[in-house]
Amino acid sequence: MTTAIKITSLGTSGAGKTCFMLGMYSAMQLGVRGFTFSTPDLDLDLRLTSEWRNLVDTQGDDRWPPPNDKAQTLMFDFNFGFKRIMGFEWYDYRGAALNETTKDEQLGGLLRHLEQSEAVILCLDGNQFAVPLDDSGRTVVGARTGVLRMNQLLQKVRTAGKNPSVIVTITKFDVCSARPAEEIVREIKELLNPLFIQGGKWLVALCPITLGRALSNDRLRGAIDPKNVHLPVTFAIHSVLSNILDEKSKRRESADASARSLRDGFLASWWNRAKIEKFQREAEELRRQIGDIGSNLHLLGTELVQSAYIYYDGVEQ
Amino acid sequence: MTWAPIVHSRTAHLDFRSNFIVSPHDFTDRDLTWAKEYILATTTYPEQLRSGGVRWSIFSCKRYLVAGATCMSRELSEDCVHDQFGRPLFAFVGYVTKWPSTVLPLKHIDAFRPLYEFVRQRFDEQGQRHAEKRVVCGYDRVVEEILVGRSDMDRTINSEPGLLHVFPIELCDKLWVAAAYAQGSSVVLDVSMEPAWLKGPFTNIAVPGVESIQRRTWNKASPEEIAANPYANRETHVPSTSRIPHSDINVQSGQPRVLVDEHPLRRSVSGVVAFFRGAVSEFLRGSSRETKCKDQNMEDRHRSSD
Repeated sequence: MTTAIKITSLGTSGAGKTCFMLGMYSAMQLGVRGFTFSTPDLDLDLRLTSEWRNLVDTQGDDRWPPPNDKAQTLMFDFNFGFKRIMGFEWYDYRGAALNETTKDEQLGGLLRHLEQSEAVILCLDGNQFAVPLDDSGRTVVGARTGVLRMNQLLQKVRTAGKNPSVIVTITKFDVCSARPAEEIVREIKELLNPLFIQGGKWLVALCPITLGRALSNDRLRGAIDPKNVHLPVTFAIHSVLSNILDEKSKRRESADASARSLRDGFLASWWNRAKIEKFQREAEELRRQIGDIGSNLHLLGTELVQSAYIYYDGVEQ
Repeated sequence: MTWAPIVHSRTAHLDFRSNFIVSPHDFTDRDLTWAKEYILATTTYPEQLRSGGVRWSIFSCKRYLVAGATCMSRELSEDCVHDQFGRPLFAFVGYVTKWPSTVLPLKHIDAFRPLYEFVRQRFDEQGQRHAEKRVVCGYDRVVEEILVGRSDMDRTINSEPGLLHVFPIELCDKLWVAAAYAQGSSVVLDVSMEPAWLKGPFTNIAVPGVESIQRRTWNKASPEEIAANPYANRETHVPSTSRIPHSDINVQSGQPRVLVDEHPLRRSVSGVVAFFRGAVSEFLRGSSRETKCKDQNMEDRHRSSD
């Protein structure tokens, strides 16, 4: 399987997109249950690894990566047992591009990538959820976290006929860990309510992530101990694999049905034997591929349901 | 001479402005796009600036010449060097003048520090209105300058967008001066051989560890393409390399005589052509020798008959 999908992360400046990407890559270099990330670009691998080491080893201001002023596309591979399952393109950009006019080149690039994406990751800054939200606070947080703009962009994606899975990540979750997670989930569901209505057919996951619980007390010296940073992309890959599985199952059923119809009667069965064999071979190959995908999906699903809140068409799964 | 400022930086609450912190008053949108392509290229791998290095750059077009420094903000100022999230900031600070210019700003960070004042003035701004606001300035800045004169390096500087000349880091100071002479050229100093530099918009780079001047071909975009889509991914093919021998730098024609990368097929065809050319000339030389011999024999015969 050599498909490469596009994943777009949306978040305002300082929401933690770059740190999340660094943490995600680092955690998945070690791997979870046999799943790993890698990159075909060895220079990129070196840069990301060295930036992560800087984050872990350095104490003080210089531990955090400098802000981003340009857009770039990063290529990664998602592997199981070091065998590539799927590639994905990650679009990294300057957070302020989210709030710029369409004449801005970075917003243009972001929109193009977004409209072709199979998964969209919304990065919401956990600092905004450190205290409970009231009605007036919701509008303020909606603007500060970029949710108002994100809603517009998701609307655009739907209008373009795409139906990507959406992963809402609450970055820097360490700063709001004192609050019950269910309460924060409820507030986010209200903020992004169009994604959680019945009939909307959105597949959504909510993942709280942190680079280390100790960072809420001391962001300059607190220990780096990432939690859940691998989940958003794992969910994205899971949803794409599910779609591929569905499509392959339909093709297998169709191949089986074609073979059956050609076998109708002794003469027809003999006359069409070449075609029947072709359909049978195709069905067999699809059955094998479905088996591979199914076992991978099962492993990924086990990992996901333990740590993320998953909704489809407004109903928690 | 007086100069106009151009500054690119994040501030405490607002991200990098699409119209810069400050830019010359006569810059059009097209000029801003042109300058942005080079300025954003100088901030590639900002984490490598943490060790205190400064990336010097010069780039010019038909109308303007920009000379700038890219470094961590703490090299330029003691205050206003972190954003609201505590991240260390970096900045590009540069001077602009009309091309051609007989002087350049001194390649010393002290000459560029005063430009950080523009960042300080806008450091606490908040809100979308300020993010989109364009601040302009005239050509009224006085800076310590050096005179620009002709040198051997003028002919080695590359102005062609599809090519890249890689210089040893030891030639930095000479390049700084030479870049001002070659219209349309662009130079960034003290970088590395990483793909972003080899594929970026700069037509000349100075790199530590390189011993001789090298020419690299790359399917770079034309200036028009860059202006139309500055952020396009222009990854193409692995570059081919050829070295420019030092003896080929100073040539009478005024152009650097560089070795051209050749396709192996073209090389073999040229080999065959050269063989036949050699054979033909050998034949002609031989026949002329033969003619000369015949003439000589005739003369001898005449002499003997006399």
